[in-house]
Amino acid sequence: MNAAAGIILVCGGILCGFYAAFRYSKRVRELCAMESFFAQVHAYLSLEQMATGELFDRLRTHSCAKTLWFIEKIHEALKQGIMFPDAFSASVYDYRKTSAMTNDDFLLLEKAGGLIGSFDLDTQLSGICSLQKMTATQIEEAKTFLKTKGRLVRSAFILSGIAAAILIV
Amino acid sequence: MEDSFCEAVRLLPAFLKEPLLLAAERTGSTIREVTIRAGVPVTVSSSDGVRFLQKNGFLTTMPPANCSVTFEQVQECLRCFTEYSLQSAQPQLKQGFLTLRGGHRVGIAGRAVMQGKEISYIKEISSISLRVARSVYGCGKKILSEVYRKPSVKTPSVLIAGPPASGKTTVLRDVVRGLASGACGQFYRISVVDERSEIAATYHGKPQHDCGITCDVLDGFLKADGMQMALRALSPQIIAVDELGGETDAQAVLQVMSGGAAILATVHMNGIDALYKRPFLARLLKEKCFDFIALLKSAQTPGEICTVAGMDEWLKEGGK
Repeated sequence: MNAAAGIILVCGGILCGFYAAFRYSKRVRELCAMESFFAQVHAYLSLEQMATGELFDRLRTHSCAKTLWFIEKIHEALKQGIMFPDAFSASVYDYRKTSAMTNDDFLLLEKAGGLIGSFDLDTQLSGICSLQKMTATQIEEAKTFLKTKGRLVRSAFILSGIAAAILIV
Repeated sequence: MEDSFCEAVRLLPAFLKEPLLLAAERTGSTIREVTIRAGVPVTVSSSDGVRFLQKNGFLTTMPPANCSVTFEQVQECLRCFTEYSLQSAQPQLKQGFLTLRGGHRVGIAGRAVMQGKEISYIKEISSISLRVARSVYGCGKKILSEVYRKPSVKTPSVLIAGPPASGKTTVLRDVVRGLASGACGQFYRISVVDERSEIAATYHGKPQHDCGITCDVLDGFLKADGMQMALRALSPQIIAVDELGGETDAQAVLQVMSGGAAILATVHMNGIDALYKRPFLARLLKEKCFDFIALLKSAQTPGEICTVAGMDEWLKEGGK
């Protein structure tokens, strides 16, 4: 009985450890996708000055849309005639539930939602450029966290699982 | 309530859309224009005259208190009209207008941002005027029947003259539609040079108004350039333009005539005498560029033709 509980505790510790580390790496992946998203928005706007609906229609086929699935949701909402700010905030709200990004990361996304389509082209482009730079900073921070905190949390969980198992056995 | 009005206001934010729809439902008259200005209540122009919009959808003859639109709300309205795509609307906006689905037009007033000698953008928009588009089928019937009665004129050139807001563009569109739909016994090949997207109201590449089967629309072209291009590339029988306004246009019309095409045009005119007072127009009349002249009544009766006369009769009667 004790042996079984011990095995369960060790496995639980390992799972929790890996999950915690996975959240750190997921945040890095999401932020990289977000940087790519901003780059694509900038490119499409500066080259083609396309309408917001068309912009999201193009973006949903881009690789960043696989990670940032709210892009597809925004596109669908726009197709239904929902105004962009409402479509954007509702989709990002849903995405937030499954995301590993922090509040600061989402702040950048919200700023993008308030920027796209709402100002003249120059203002939008310079705004997107600033967001790209801020995202790059966030990526650096997330990578550092992945290297330090990610490993630390994973090891801590695994070790505490082992410790608990030893105590019980 | 009219479908065209519902379509025109459908993009507006709720704080304006709802009272406007209520107002349209309550009032029996047709709303032609809605003007949203920062700092004052919304004005609604209909056949009853100018009225002010209250938050509950009632229209008053005097400006109501506490119903003013804020500057931020005006910006919000513009964003909604562009469907949050100010970037793609920028080329039109810098000319001071925006064409909506259905052919409705939004005129704007604000501060111009200059780049060299050209306007690069209009910012700090302080007022927006929404004109509800309505195609009036049959308003050009008088002109078409006059054309039909004179088979000696193979390709008719028509000048439509009238005071501001008398429906010149509406009549022109109906005449174009008639001629390009075989209403005068044949399908005329017509090129419409639509400098300000008012005749065909092209939205995302599709004309929102029916201009007939054998009609090509050159949208956004300057009148003179568009007429030249149409003449060279599309070999039209008739070229239609709105609002001839100066020597450059007159020169382009003369070139069109020498190129073998006829011209359908409108011109602003406050009185019959004004036709001869404007040098470029006097020149065109002297050169007998038009086979028919149609005069519209007034802004109170938009689209109503007062008289249509052949050029010869016109000259005989001395334009009276």
